[in-house]
Amino acid sequence: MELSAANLSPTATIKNIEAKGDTLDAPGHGRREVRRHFFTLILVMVLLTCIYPVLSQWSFKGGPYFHIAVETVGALLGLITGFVLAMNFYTLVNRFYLSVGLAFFVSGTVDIVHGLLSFERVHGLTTIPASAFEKIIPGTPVMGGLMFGFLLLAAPFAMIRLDKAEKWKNKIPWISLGTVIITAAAAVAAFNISFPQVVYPDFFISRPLNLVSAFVLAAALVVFLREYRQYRDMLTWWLALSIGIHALGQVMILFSRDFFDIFFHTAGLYKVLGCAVPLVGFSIYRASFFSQRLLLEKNNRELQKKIADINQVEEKIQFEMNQRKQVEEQLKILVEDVERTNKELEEFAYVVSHDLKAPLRGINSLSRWLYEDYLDVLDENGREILDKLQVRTKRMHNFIEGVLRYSRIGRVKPTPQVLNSEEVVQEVIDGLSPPDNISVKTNDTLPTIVYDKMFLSQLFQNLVGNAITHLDKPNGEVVISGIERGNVWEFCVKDNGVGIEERHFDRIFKIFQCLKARSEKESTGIGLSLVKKIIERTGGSVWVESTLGEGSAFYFTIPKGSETEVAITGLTVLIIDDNPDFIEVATAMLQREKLKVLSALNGREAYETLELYKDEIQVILMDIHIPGEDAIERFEKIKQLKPEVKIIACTGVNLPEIIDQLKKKGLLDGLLAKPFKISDLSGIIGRFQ
Amino acid sequence: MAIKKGVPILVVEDDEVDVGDILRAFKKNKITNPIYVASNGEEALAFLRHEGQYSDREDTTLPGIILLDLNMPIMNGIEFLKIIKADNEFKKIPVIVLTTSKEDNDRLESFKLSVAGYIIKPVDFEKFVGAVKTFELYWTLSEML
Repeated sequence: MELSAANLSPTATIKNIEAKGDTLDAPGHGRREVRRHFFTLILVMVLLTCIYPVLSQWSFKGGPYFHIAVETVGALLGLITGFVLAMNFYTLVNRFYLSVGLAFFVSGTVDIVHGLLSFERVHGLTTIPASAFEKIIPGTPVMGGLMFGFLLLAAPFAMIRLDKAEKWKNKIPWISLGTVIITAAAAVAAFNISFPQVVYPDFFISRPLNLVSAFVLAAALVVFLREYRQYRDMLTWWLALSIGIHALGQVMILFSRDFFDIFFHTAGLYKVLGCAVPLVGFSIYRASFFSQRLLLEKNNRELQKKIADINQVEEKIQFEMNQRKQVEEQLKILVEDVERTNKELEEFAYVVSHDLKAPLRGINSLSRWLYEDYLDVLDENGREILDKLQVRTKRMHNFIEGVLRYSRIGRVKPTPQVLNSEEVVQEVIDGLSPPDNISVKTNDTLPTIVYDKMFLSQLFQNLVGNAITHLDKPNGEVVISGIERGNVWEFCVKDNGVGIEERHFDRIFKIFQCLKARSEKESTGIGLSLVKKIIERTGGSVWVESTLGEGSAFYFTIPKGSETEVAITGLTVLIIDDNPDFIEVATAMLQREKLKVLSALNGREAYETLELYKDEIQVILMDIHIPGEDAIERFEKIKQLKPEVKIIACTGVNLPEIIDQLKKKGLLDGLLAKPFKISDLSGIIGRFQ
Repeated sequence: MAIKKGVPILVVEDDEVDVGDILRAFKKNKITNPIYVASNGEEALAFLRHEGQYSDREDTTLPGIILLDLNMPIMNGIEFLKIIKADNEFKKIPVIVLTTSKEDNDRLESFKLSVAGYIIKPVDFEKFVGAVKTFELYWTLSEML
């Protein structure tokens, strides 16, 4: 499954949602939205105010019934709004709405009472004295308006205080009920209490209490707008609008000079409007709320799906990691096995050769004693028999030595050093002690090369020794030469001996192959195969040119690249890789080459280690890709810490862009592909010197 | 060269043919010093300490030289060497190690334990002289004349 890093991240999804400003309340409620809503509200209020000049032209005078109808509708709407908002308290668990709902409910209740009283008055059904009537009827809506205003103001405080006080939480329903009862009781008591005068027709401001209401409502409006700005709750805005309209209504009635004039009615209509608005708003609010919930659920489902995908990928990764770990563990065991086998073979070979050679030596000595002690008793035949005995024991001894040496080639690690091949050849010649009639010399001075001394020695021992052995001419000549040819050193051992037929050219290099019967020429059959094995081990080639009867020339090449292998012994290397198993195996490999190895699992450890061992570390083997880190930064920082250090990037994955960048910035001194061979590494390091 | 008469020579070697080589070499060159042969390290120690089968030996002089094979059963040459080099009396005796080939690792080990020299088997007198010569035992021994 194709999963890009970008759309995988759950953080990304959440960020998306946050960026869009999605909240529970309204879509895209950012600052611009808020400002827009502010202006809308102000616009509406201004419009409603601007009606004033129109209204003042209109000399409409409606009847009391119209007024009662308007008031009753307003009251009912108020009751419903109050009920709906208070119910909202339970679903949204927001006590803010409870208080607001109570405000509307109370206002509505009072207005219902006012309506009933007015109705009674109009129809003359009353038990209350007329004077009281005159005061109660206008008094009730004013009282209602004041209580409305104060309860609204109290709403935010109610939310805070009741929220914080744990013990009040359970008493809220009781408080609400209490408030309702008090309101109803007050309303009923209004019938019997002497109301204060609320209308002063002679004063400039004929209804001062309405002015107070207007101010309280204005204050409530400000409070609600602040709430809206803070919480971005659309319902709060609708309520703010409602409060604004109510406030305007209170202002309108200030201009009423006469009962039932246009301002009177307009005030009532505004009240109706003010109570209708929250209901409308609430419906819209609930609708958007619902749609938001759908959106959220959809996002949630997507998120869940992405999480499931991620989990799946994680499981896969974990599985693959386990697999890889298993393979690595297996490899470790294999390596251990191989090393152990190697060691066992070495011990075995030693013991075998030792225990084979001891009795051989015994046989040789015993035959020699026989010879020495019974020389006078032995006749020609006897002496010949003893000779043959000695020859054969010697042959067996050489054979064992040859086989042992042959088997060692594969197991021993070549230690290249700078060699004067002339000196080595001279040593070999001295060791072989050629007879006087054979001249063995070198043609010009042999070059200085870099190679394992024991190998070079054995190569010449076998080739020169063979040449000497197979010389049949009275004056034997063996010439050894060596030249540079391209990127190899080419050596030649030439003799004027018996020569070799072309058809045998390949066979002679095979182990245990001889061209003559053993008794004729003392040959183990191992020599040339030993030469071949050594050459193959060190990456060269060997071949022969020969003419039967005239002589042979054996050539072998030593690759020049091995020059560079010298340098790596004794170096201190720092391996930086996030894979601890790789570090373990690489460390073991390097330590076998007598390198000192330090390691770090990430950039931070690397910097610390480099600081501590700054003077010692000469080469760094660093993985390019370490998760959670910038590769280029790491390379840069390391070069900063120690500019002379050589950094070899080691990578199992192809990262051409990063490698290019590193090269351009001069941060890369070498590149190794994983898995690497020691010869690759030493080749790179050799080029540094 | 002449070796002081009467100074015993201790040969620690288990292979009878190798021992034979040594005895023949000395006999051929008319060396008459008493030659004692121990076939392993333990026996050699008993000889030096006059214990066990050697407890009733009359001549109690320590050997003037020890020829030591490294590869022996029960107690091999290296172990024996370590023990005698730790002993104040015994460590004065020069030890020449008998070895089968130049590439023996044991040879390096024995050098670490300050032996006087080594001889590649089979031992013949020339080799013996050569080994002795190299480390100036000639002078020591000839002085003992």
